[in-house]
Amino acid sequence: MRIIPGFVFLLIISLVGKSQDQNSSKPAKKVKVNFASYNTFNLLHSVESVHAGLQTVNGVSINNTFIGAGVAIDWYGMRSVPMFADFRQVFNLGRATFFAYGDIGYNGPWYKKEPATMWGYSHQSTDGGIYYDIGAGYLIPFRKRNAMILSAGYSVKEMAKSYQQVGWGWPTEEDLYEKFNYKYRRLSVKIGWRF
Amino acid sequence: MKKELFRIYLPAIIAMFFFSSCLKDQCTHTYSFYTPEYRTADEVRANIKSNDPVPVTKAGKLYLRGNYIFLNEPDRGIHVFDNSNPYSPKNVAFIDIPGNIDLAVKGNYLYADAYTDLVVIDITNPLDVKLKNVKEGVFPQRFYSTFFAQDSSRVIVNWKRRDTTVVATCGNDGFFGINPMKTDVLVLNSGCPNCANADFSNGNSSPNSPYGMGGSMARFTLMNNNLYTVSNSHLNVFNISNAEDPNFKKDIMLGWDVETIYPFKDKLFIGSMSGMFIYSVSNPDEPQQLGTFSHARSCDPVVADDDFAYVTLRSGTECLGFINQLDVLDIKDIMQPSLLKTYPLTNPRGLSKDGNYLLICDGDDGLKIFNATDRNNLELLSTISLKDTYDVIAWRGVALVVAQDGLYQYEYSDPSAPKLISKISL
Repeated sequence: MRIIPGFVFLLIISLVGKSQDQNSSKPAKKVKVNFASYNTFNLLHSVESVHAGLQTVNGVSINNTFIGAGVAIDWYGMRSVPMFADFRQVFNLGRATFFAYGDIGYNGPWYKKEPATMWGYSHQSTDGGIYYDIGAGYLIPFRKRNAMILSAGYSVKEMAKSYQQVGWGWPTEEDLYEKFNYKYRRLSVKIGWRF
Repeated sequence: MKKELFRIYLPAIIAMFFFSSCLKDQCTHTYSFYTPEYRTADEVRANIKSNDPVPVTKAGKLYLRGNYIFLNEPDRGIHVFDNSNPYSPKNVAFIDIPGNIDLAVKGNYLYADAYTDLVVIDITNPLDVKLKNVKEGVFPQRFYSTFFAQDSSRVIVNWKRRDTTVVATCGNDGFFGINPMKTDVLVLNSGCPNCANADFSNGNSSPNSPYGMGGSMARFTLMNNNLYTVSNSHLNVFNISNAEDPNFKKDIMLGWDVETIYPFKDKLFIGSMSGMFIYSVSNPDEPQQLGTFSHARSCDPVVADDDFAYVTLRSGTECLGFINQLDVLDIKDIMQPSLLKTYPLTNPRGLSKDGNYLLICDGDDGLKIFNATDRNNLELLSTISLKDTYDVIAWRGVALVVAQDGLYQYEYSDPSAPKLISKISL
């Protein structure tokens, strides 16, 4: 449940940001609502390996708060398709624009036809699991609302595979099942383009 | 500005360090395995008697003797049913024989395998059977092979299932998935750690003859004063002139993947995955090969009548192959059996012939009854829908059928409309 402190942290950042806006003596700004799209190439890195991913997040930006939905192709471990809700808070600090983000959703398995039986086992199912990603980064603006994205975060995806033992019937005729649960935990470094 | 920057992002940086200590995949493997329960040989032998009846959990080979049905439960023993009223068979006893897969009956003696041993049991009173003899080590193929280290001083009588979850490797090493040592499929832990190498079983004639009547899936059969058994690769010959004391005479190498043995007149029909062997037992202690009929690789129980043999070929995990059919063979020239006709089936197993009727267990299709008067044109008369039918004994209009969920008896005096007369549920 490490996900919980992560999202609490994001919420605090968001509230601190808002609180600072409210505390400022500047006159209230007009609410700006824009469509925004974050598209990144991801490097997924753990102590065990490095893999790649592609991701697009699209949604609505209300002032400095962004709410959207994303989908990705994630090659880390077993290839999968995370689908998630995305929350971002942008902080304009001088020329630099920082943001913190949090994603949470479902990590769907990539369809892959497996052999019906192999070595006396039949593949039963590949199941998805929870997906989350939390991190921070900054935007380097160029040409109007376009910006280059650089970010780093902590990402977890879960999957499971089930097998049934077939054919041998020894030492009993009882069906035997095996299950592998995978929890991939990695650093996600992203580079991309926001428009 | 700098102050604000630190106030907001310092915690983020610290948090990143916190998470970075967790950048290690976690994978688990949940599986079941079995551990053996042992008894000493003396304890096992003392328990080979008519114990209280127990429910059947898995039906194996079948033997019909007089009013009694002997039903093997693989590796556990033999259930005894009083079938004097076929409409209401009674489960009357259980003979506890660890490692038993096959059986045959001659007169008042039941011959059964118990792992590598042959046991002789007096069944004069099926409610009070008595162990008469044990021939040790006559089925050497029934040992546990590969990685299983059995306590050879004791006998396995049961297996206990245990479930466990262990930490597993995630198979995720490498750079962008490139790792020459990586396997696409994770290696499953239990694999087939210890497979029993072979099994054995029974014979055929009529339930009222001294020999009783076995199904076509049998690996034991009796003829005159001999017991013949087949292992995966050998035909074993026992002389049972002294019924209580079988005398092992010889074994004959047959080839590999031998499955069933069926007696007819003075011949033995032996089914293997690659073909059917015909042996003459005119000299009972010295069977001589007469002919063979080769077919594509698959499992093949056999029955025969005067001039024809009926061979069911099936595919499946253990049977390999892709063929599911009935082959009718002309065996008038016993030295050169020839294929008369082939009939497609779904997944045939045991079969039985009663007069002009041929009954075939066709897997999940159920039991099929054919009119076999014209071997060139078998006529399907009816199909009894049963799940995973395995073996059948047909005798005087009653079919005893082993299926996944029970032992059924059907009366088929009208073969186009067979009637269920009883079921023993598993």
